[in-house]
Amino acid sequence: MSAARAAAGSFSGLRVVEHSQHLAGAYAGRMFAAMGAEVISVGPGVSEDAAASGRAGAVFWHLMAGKRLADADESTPEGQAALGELLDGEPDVWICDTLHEARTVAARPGGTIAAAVSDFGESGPRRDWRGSEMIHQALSGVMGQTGEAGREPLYGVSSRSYSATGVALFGSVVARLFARERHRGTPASEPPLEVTVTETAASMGQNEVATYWYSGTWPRRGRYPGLVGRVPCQDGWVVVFGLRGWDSICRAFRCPELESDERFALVPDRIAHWQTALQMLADAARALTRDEIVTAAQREHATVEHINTLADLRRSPHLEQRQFWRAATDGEAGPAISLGPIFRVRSRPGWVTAPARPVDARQAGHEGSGA
Amino acid sequence: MTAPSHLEDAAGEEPLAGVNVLDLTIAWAGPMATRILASLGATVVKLENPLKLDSWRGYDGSPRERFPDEEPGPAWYNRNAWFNTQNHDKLSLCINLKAPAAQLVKQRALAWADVVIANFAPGALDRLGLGFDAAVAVNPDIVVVEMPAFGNDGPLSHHVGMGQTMEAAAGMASLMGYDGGHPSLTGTAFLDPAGGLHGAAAVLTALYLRELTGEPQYVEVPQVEAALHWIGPEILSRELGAEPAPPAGNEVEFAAPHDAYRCAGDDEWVAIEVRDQQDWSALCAVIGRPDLERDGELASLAGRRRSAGVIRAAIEAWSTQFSKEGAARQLQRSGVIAAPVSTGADIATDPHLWARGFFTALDHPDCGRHFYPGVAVRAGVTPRPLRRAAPQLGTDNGTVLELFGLSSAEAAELERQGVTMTRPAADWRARQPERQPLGR
Repeated sequence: MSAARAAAGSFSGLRVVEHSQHLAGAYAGRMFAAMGAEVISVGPGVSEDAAASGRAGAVFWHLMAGKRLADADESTPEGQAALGELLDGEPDVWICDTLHEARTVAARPGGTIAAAVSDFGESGPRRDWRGSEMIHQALSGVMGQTGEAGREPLYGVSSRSYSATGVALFGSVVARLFARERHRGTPASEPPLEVTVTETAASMGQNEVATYWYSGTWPRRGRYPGLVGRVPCQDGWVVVFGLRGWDSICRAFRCPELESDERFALVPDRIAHWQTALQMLADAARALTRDEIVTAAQREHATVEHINTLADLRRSPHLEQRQFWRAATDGEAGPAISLGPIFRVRSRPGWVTAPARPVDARQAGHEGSGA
Repeated sequence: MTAPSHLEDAAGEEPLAGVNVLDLTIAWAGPMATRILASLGATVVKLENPLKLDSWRGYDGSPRERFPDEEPGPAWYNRNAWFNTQNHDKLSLCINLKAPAAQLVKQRALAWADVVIANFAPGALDRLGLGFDAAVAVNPDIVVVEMPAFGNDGPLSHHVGMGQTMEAAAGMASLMGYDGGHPSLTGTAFLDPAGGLHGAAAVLTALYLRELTGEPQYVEVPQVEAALHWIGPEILSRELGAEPAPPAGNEVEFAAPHDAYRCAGDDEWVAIEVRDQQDWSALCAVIGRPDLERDGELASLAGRRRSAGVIRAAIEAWSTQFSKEGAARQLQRSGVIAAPVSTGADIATDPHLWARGFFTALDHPDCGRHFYPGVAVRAGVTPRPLRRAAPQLGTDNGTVLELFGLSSAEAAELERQGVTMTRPAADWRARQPERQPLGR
């Protein structure tokens, strides 16, 4: 590993080719770019999902930041040659959408770590299914628990299962990078990595299947026993977690009479009467603001929180003080801000937020690392 | 060239072989992060406080369905499905770290560890004497990762968070819900496994950076901020001038229909997504309604959105004749994006997950044999089977103390003093004033 990389304390010097049209591939690439790696995204860089959604612009600005964009039309000999030259440049990491391609890359000399990402993988009865955010949330068990009893289950928001898969893909690759660095060498051959959205989503909904294996039961939406509820108040909504600190919650809502109400005194009581409790809290909250309730509750370590809108987040003093919103360095065409770090490494306070830059694919294949 | 055997190990299935993790995490997000590390080959020691158990071992009032055959039993703290699913392949050291006699253990543990990870409130790890400054004084190669809900500083850093309150704080709940603008929460505490993935990624990043730099690493994973990246496009869309539309069920701008439809059975649904004319034609053909395809009003996304009620009636006239799995199979065979809305029972028998090797059977001394799901982060193509069921409370006390370099006499003395235990401390219940005996 290069001394420059070591000195930088970041992923600078690491070269990643993102030959992926998959949102999860783009998300993983974004994490590498943010950590300082040189990431070359080959192709338009947004998936069918994003392009079809009308959010393509925002998806692009979010996921392509810090990357170099190489346009290579693989249906042409020139595009194929450009892709071949990128591969010949022996990048450290190659992210792609098929296991076949990953196997081919992994089998080449040079030690490139090859990682494939797809919706369902290339084996199993659903290998040819079309996936989407709603489909993965449906199959994972999460959608079936979201929403009100008797109404349609809700899928959620955005592309969270794809983002999750991007994090899993990033982690899988970094684990292998670590192993190589630790052992100071690249083995003669390594299998490719394969990460799928369907398994990532299933791994996030593990409680439902675990409960089934243990007791033959499974939770249903609208009957969640976790003592969580939404409460409207004067200027919006708050969410209450009533498992612990009930006395503090009652004080925060300025209804101390609930503290001594036997219907809510103990956890099993509160579970049995939770809807009544929420209604009584809501009655009290009509005269209170979100800040009044949340500040009073959290002062006593009770778990009550704002239900924030996007506007709330943009004017949040907390995020402002933590400098989460970063000024985009090229705001002419895109948004004026980008998002701050996913995690903060003490030795490396920075987080790359530069916009994507176009680059000639064939030129990129010849360039050395550290560009 | 043949790779040395240690490289074959690294290349094959265990990139974290030889990595020692001191795990002080509780509940879901942190234990999921260390579960991922264990699945990659790390040796993970879960430190558990006999005076304040990990809430996922259960508590008085835990839902009974989380226990085998809905029976908590006297060793309930070893029998909780949620805990056992999240803590396989770990060792348990049950120890009161605040006891004076535990000081030696803490020093030895820090010397042993590559990684210390916790998901406490800011400052709690420092007060335990296991924070970064204390750790690096003992072990100059240490990696410390903390996962505070709102970060280590800022006006909200003291806020207590759990999955669903973090989801609300992160702006996601306001983007979800039925018509009417009321926010909705994901039924599971979705941001907890999100935090687990971010926590694992942070540890792996820190380990890699440590190898590159030869320096200790400290990483903070502010779970709410990390989650904001998962709605990054929505945040940036607003910056570009598009205020988010009020939530309207499963409606999205890029597909119509895009919703769940009733199937045969009670509360059984199939999710269907139509993005373009080809999808729409295929759907109309499957449900036997070519007239809908010919209807000009329904030729566009906007038109289909306006006629959502008509379309729902047409789809459900067909879908209620089939099981959700059968309906989804027919639709996917015709190229329509569709899936059954699964329950825990469906996932347990999901043929695709079984074919992918997603489940492993493990024998637990207090629970018997059950299957457990795998993890998302991979060391190869196929998932690495889980090896060992979640530990009984304190079952590895002796083994772990030996790993830390304590003598058997020192370990015995800790046990004699009640510093290490294999069951909750006698006054544990007195510390839980809001809770009553299980099964009430």
